[in-house]
Amino acid sequence: MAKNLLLTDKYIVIGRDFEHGGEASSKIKNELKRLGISSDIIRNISIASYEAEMNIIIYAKDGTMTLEVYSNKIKIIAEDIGPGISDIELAMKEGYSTAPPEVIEMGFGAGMGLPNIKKNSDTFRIDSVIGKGTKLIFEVNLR
Amino acid sequence: MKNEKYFHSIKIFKDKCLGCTHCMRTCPTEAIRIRDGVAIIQDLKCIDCGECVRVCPHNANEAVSDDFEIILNYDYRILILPSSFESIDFMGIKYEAVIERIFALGFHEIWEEGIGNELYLSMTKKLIKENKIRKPIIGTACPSVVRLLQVNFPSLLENLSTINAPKDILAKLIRSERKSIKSLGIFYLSPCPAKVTSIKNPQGIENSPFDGALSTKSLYKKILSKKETKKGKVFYSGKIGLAMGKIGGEKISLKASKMLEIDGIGKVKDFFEKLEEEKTPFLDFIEAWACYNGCVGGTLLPANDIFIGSYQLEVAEKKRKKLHSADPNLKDKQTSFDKEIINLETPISPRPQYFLAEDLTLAAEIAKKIKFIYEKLPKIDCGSCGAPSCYAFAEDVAKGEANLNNCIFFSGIKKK
Repeated sequence: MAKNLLLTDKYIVIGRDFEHGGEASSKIKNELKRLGISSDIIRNISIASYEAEMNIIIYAKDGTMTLEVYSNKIKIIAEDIGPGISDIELAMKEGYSTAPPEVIEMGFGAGMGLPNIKKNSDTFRIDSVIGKGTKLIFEVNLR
Repeated sequence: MKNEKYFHSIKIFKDKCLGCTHCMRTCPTEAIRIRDGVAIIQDLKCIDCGECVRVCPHNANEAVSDDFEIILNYDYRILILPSSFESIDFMGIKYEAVIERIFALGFHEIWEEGIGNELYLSMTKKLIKENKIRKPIIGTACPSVVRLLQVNFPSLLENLSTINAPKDILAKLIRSERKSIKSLGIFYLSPCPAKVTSIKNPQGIENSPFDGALSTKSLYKKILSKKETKKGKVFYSGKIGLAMGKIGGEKISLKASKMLEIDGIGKVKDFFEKLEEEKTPFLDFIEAWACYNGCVGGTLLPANDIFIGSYQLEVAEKKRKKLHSADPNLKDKQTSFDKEIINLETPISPRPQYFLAEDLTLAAEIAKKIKFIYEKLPKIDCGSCGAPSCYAFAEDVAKGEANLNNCIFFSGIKKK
């Protein structure tokens, strides 16, 4: 186990399962609440992990959300098997979206997901392989 | 009744309790456990909503309030009637006659809580406009809702209104207006256990302005059997104040387009869960009630049918000619009001039990243990162990509060 890693939890997210969209991030939020993490940090993690979870649901076949609690930070790893992101720089732009029309009709895919994750985290990394999948890693420091 | 740190007006009478798990399964904050065949309420988690009282088939869960005789400790006695009072069916006795019977029982003045509601609403209207508090503002009228925030949603305490609950505004106002009276006793006729608790163990104010909380149910019986009548000073509220006795009453007056009313403590909890995750549309104000249909659904009211109750209250509302209280002095005060009467004295803080341990490393240790235990459990939430769910049981075991053998799958009766 990595240094300072206190706890880890993994949640499965299924692609196109809009009905249960948000459940993983809700569980993450409640776990952090029980650990006594302060509410502004929970809010950041909660918003960022919801966006990451919805991204898996909208674009990928399926994926997992992993919560890692360290003594000095909270880390979320959102990993999926999916199409991958062809131009990460473009995807990071606010309002840029590749979501299909039926998804946009549902009120998702406004192109705010990735920028929102970045905004709500202290470190943020995207690893993506076209045709294979995407891995988002973001952290919020405990102050 | 004495003041305790976490005083609760809901008590379980052990000789009546069969340990049947009804209340344990209903409790919105998972505050109830069955130990040695009897239900036990955990003080830190209980929010006094009264759902356990509602569901108990054996009348073992009861809301306790002050004995009526408490009023005799004071020479000049004022009773505040809850705005849900007129939802009660007095077997055909007219409201005016009911009031006269209450005077005969030993009161000198009767005030309707609705007057407090009117002040609360006009101040809330201002508060919404001011934009000083994070929106949506959550009202303080229902003490169980306030306590739910303290127990389960500490982050949403930021959204809590800074305005006192209506009954407290009114009692403080009366206290300041009747300063010269010696041996003054102000009593509240409570429609629910939560409001009794809010008088015995107030949140946001140092000392409750009330000298006692009476149960509407027990006064109801006294009113029906009291044949004598007496005249006295009554302070009536207007339509607006009366309307707050049931759900939607705040909406009528606040006229905020972006507001939502929610009733039923379980639904309120679900909503707060979404609000906490910012999955709700932008809203200015939340009117939330622990009881279905609002205060007319209180468990200390004699009439059990909330639909008939709501209807009767609506009929009473229509009979009121004025929108606001008939007292002209009060109208002036609404605009320039004493902050000490209107505002909460101290911020309302979370209760410490919502996290596992103060120290993160220790909390994570317990969380790991919970997960480990939970994985072994059948996950059927049968309740036989005395905890409301397998997860809650895992938590109890991890904290050393329960034994794994309490689970029927681990005791002598094995699956196979």
